[in-house]
Amino acid sequence: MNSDELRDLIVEVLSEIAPETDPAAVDPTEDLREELDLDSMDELNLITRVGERLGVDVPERDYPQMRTLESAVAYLSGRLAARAG
Amino acid sequence: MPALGAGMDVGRIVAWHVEPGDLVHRGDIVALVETDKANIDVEVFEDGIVEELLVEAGVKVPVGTPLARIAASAPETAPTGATMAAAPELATAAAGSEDAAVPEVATAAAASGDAVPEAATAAAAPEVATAAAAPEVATAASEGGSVKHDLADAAASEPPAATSGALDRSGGTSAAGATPTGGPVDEHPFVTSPLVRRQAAEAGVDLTRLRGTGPAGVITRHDVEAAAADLGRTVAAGVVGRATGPSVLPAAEPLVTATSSSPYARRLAAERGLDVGAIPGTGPGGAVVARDVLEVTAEPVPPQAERAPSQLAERAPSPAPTAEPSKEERAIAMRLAIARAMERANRDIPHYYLGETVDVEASLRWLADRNADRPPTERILPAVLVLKATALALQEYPDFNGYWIDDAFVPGEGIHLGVAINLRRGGLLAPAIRDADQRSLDELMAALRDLVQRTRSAGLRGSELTDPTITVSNLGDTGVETIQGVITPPQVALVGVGRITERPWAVDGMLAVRRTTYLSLAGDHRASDGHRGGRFLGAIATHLTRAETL
Repeated sequence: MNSDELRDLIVEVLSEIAPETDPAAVDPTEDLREELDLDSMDELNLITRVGERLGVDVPERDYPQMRTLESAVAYLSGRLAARAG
Repeated sequence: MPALGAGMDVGRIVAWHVEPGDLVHRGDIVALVETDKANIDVEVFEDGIVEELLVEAGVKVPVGTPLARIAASAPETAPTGATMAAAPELATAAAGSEDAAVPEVATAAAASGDAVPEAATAAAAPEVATAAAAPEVATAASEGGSVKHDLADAAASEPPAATSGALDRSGGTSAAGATPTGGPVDEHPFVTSPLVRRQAAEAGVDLTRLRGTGPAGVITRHDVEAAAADLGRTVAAGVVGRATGPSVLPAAEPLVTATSSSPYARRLAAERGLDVGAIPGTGPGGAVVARDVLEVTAEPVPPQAERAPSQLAERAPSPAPTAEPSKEERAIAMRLAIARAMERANRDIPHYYLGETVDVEASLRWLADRNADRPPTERILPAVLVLKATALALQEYPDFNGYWIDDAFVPGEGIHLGVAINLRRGGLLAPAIRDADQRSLDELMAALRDLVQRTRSAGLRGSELTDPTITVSNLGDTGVETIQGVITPPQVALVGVGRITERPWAVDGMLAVRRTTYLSLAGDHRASDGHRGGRFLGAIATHLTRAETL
């Protein structure tokens, strides 16, 4: 899965979690919790669902890397590459 | 139309889930109601049969408007559901009679010459329905030994039911429409004691028109007294009185009498020496309601007078037994009281505020260790630690767990934490996680996840909005550090939790960095004072610092 596909996946999951928002329009460098008014339950749901779809278990200590769209894509790319390698 | 949030004025039924003739049980969802915040599933609070839907879907009505008429059948005190099974059959058999289930059977039993059906009750099949009636009966029987003959006469003189053939004597099935099994007639909800029969006969009260409010639908002395009062008659003193229902509810009274009227109207009429039957009624189905009585005496109608009958018409008061009110009766009374309190405009609650910064470093480390071994679906959020800590503290400080109603504190039935959930489209709802003190952290987490999901999409139930005994407001993720919340009436407290932040902290004279959160308490000064509030807040803080004990 390339970066664009990862980004689309994350945006899709965010749309499910926060249907009243427009995740596709967020600034990829800004904290998603601010951009989309997400709380800790939303964050956990994001990590859970994205993790399920990719088969990646994101531990709590890595949560900070999932907080912007940009860093989330980078983090997940790395995890997938590591798994493949 | 129930008040599903403080300040709610109107609601619109989006869809009905029941039709006239449907059998409903306590807790069943009967309609989807749209409020300005969310669509809420509205439940019915008693067992019964839907008689009529009074408001159509799509119509906006003010809070307090009766939505439907439900003929309450006997409470399902029997595990076998014997009484429940009886009701629907009788309802269909007694077409045209407003008090469907009871009267037909009552007269049939009387006419069958069973002068002392209650004695047979004790000896009947082991259905619990009869056992429920037995205590009431045993007392009366011991006192009414000599009146059996009188009762036989009184009973025989009552007109036989035209539809005795349709009587359902099911003794052991629980489905509506059960086939008759020929069980003894004493299993039916109309059963009453010899003494009560005598009192009714002497006072000229027609037992066939009464719906019993005793256990398993037994007609009690209070039912007869209330009916007699309507007729302007008195009932001879007999059995030593026992406590009636909770003070919030009117005393045990039949919902329907010879002239249809609300219990509140009957009381107002009795107080004024009026014959409620002679007053023109403007309530549902022409029933006499409180304002009708007050109009006769040209009194101004206080807001409560207009509220009470609609509340009662919408949800029939639960049967108040002649013994101590049961948990469920208190719960229903509580719901009525809460609904009334919430209907009023947000009254000015005299707030006081307290706060404390809590070092939660140890608890968060404990949580991290615990979550590290678990997949995301099994991890627990810090918010859950706060919920459990609050619930445990409320066990120690129950004076913060309840309501301020009618100038007094009323303790909650259980510890039901209202969780403030932000609606992204604007607004806030705070539905309850019930019995939070009884749940493990995992269970609380699952309940929280489910509640948040349903609050933000669909499927929230009306009872969840009226259940909270206190509210916890947790803006602690990316929000502000401190909260000075507003208490939701009729609750008496609000616990606020701020963002978890790292700050310098003194530990044994040395400087350390600890993650902390600011806990705040907003208290209703009528119900508690700052000193007590401070201790309560301290208890929450203490629990919160010991996550392993939660």
